[in-house]
Amino acid sequence: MNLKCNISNTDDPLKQIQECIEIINKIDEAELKNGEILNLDFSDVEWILPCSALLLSNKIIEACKIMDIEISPPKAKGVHDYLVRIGFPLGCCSEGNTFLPINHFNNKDNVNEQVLKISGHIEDKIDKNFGFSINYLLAELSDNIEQHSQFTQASIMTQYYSDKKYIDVGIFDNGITIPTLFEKKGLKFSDDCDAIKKAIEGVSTKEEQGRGFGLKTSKNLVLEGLNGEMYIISKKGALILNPKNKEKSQELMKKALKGTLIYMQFSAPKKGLNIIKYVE
Amino acid sequence: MEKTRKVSIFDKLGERIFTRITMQDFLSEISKLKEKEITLDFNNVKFISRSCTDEYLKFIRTSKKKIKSINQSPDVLMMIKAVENGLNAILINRVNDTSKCVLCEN
Repeated sequence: MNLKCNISNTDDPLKQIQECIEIINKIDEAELKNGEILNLDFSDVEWILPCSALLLSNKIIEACKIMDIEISPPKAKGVHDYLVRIGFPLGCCSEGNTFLPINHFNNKDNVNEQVLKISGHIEDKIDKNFGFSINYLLAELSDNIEQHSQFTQASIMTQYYSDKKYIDVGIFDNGITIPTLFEKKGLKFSDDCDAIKKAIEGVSTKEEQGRGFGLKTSKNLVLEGLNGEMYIISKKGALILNPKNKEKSQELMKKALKGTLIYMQFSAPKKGLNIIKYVE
Repeated sequence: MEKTRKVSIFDKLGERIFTRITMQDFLSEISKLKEKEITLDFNNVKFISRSCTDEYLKFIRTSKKKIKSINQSPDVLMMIKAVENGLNAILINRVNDTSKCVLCEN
């Protein structure tokens, strides 16, 4: 069975993410006959953002457990070579000068060790003015995955553009999503975007004191400390945060993402960043 | 029986500590030690996450053992202070007598 994977030639992460969700849903809906292989046809893809590569690779690695998958690679050489370098879709051990390959881990892995490995690799590659900001973001967001998501598969990827001193960081888990977790814990919200908003405001499903700060402080760090942009997509909610508009837009996706994606883009600060200002 | 024991956090957890469960598991082991006084040596620890710091401070506050911490780097100290200030604010808000800080000894 051939599944055409259409991804627009755009720099708009939200547009590509919506297209990836369509592809992911089609993978889930694919009815394969005995012995049939699902061919994911990326041949016409001319541009793929790190967030899209992350989402799709997580789905493929999950789907490989229950079906046979082949990939028709992009005809565009640049895209093809990029996907090979980042280890799409299964992840890889080698790393490049400006990126970390897609790193997958599951709920049987030691999450702390996985993040330690990633942070150790990325530190040498990026501008020193980032300080501990990448460590902080990876720590808090992966901790949320471990604490809340009930995930089976998670993926992290970073891409550093050394000429512009600009970084993309993406982290995705295939867990129960923020809105579903809120629903299970009896927390009220009006729609999936509202659930995400409450999460970044510090509403926590854990009752102990001092909880609920991970996403909130990460947002503060990205927007205020790093002057960056943050996309949080969970189930049908999509929240886009940037320093100019605080919330650029929030929209409900047409189809639900089965998991939570946090995708951040920011530049190196002009001087060394002290993350403590953003920690509550 | 030895009264005090020194534990190197770096030896147990490495130079960077990220997830809450990692710190919880480590502190659970510390709780089970026979010694009544424990010195937590932060030498070579470069980074501790906010979540881990939160667990560490809760442990300090509630442990039946006497806990001393040494050799924290400036960055680790700043994180501890920031999270401690945040915890203090929560506790001050919840205590009827707002002049009393439950966490502060001073």
